[in-house]
Amino acid sequence: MTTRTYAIDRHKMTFVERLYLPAILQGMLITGWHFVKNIFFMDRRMTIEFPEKKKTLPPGYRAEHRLMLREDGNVRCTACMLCATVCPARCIEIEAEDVGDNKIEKRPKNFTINELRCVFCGLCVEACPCDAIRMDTGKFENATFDRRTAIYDIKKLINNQAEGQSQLSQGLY
Amino acid sequence: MDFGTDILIALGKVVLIVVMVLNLIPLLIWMERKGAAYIQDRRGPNRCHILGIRLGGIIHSLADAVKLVTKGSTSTSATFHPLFVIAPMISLFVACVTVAVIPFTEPLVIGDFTFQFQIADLSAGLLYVIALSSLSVYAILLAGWSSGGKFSLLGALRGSSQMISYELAMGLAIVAIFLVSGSFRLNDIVAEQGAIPWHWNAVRLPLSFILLFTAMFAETNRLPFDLPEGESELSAGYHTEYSAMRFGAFFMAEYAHLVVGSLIVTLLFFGGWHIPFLSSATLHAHASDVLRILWIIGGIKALLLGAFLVRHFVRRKGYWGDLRDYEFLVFGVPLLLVGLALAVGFFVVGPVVLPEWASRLLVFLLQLGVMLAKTLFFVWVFIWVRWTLPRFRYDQLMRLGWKVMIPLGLVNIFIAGMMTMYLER
Repeated sequence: MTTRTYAIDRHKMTFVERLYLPAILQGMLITGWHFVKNIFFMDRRMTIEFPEKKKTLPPGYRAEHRLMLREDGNVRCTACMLCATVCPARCIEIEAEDVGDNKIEKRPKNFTINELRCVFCGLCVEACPCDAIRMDTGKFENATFDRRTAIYDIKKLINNQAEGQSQLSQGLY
Repeated sequence: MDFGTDILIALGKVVLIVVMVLNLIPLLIWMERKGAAYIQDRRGPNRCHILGIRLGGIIHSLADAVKLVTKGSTSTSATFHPLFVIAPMISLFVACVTVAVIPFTEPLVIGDFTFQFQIADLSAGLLYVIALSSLSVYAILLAGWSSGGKFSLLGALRGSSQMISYELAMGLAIVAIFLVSGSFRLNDIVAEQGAIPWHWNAVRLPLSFILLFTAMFAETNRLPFDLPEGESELSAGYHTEYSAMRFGAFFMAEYAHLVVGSLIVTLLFFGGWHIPFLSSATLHAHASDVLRILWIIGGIKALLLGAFLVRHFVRRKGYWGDLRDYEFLVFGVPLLLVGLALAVGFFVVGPVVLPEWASRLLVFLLQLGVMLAKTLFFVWVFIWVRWTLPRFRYDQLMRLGWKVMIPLGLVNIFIAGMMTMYLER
């Protein structure tokens, strides 16, 4: 690593600078201008009034999880444990069971995600080989009155759909 | 007048003035929050509402008051209770009592009846203000020491040293005014300045004004000098351990200090109740014209504001989707009606010549309004500066106080002395 040196300009303050008052007046003009501007052009402020108005989330925003379904209505997950393994927060718990179909072999009996532990890194979505878990619900207001309600079981995860989105995953297989 | 009516009038004045100052406090808290929000490009308090009436967020102050009164007061096992309870009382008491010598207007004289909007016309009025405002150090010291926490104690130490150092500078700045005005009575100081802006002390003694205004910031513990309660270092300084209305008392005292400070600045430097270029004699002589002009201005303002609010309602229809949408109508329509009534009334009442007592009363009220307007402006300057400047470091604060402001104060006294000696006024 090369060493870089930066020359920091630490000049002695001039008399006008040491008076402080011109600088203070300058600062007050800036803040005063903001104040006046915001009074007369109230709707041009960058803040939005949150519960009533919401920002459109950027594509790829990682929100709460959901589990995808196949065309026949079964869970797409094959309980391969990749997501639970890769999860850095260890918030995914999967209990597998036999399907009786040799093509699929396994399915999750329980699939629990602790949303309080989750760090929303999205690694589970990347790890999943069959597009069974997604984080595209757009739900980010996960405040609750009870911790237990923040632990999502398989039923909740299957039904945790964003409005107007298909429960079936397209592509792959 | 006999003794009984005198006492009654005095009591009435006490209640009126104290209630006025205490009622200004929620308004100032609202100004502070809303001003801060607008300066920082936010919207500020606008949620709390009673049946959709939000008054631009003033209802939040009401909610705060209810919360502070109904909360439980806590204290730690290390607190020394008697002083812990007394300290906020001292703080609020000192802040409120200072208002006693403030003259809000010229005396109202109708016939042989004289009414002065001032509780006590002391001949040493300004000294009383300085003496009492220095008592608020006790509140900070007692609060910080008796609550038994490290942050509180550090805050109290900082606060007391800061206030003591800046009191010196403030006193020196005021001495110059004594020299120029030749009196300690606030009434005399204001009357001596007159109605012409360049005879006001702010123009005659600019250095004195800057020194006193800066010292005021330190005295009221507001932002460039809010080291006693610097939240990034001391969490809340001397009132860390306080909760509920005990904290509320400190909070109210801060804003009461703000009002008193602004009143003092207005009285000493900006001509008090004088309207620029219009002396009381002129106003008395042309009271009817003044009323007409006020009438017209009031009408136009009501119409404009009403029209603005109704336009706002039309433009933001369905923005909230509940009662809050109609708030603009609730205020806009009556304002429009008032404006129209004033416009029609002008042709009826316009030609009337006011009797003597009414003109006196009008000038009295007008000067009271001007005084309050100037005061609110300076309160706004306090708030404005708070949201502009960062906090001073402790050594910078002490250096500014002892090495800059006190020498400047001495120089200022010398200048004022030369002025009184060589300049004929």
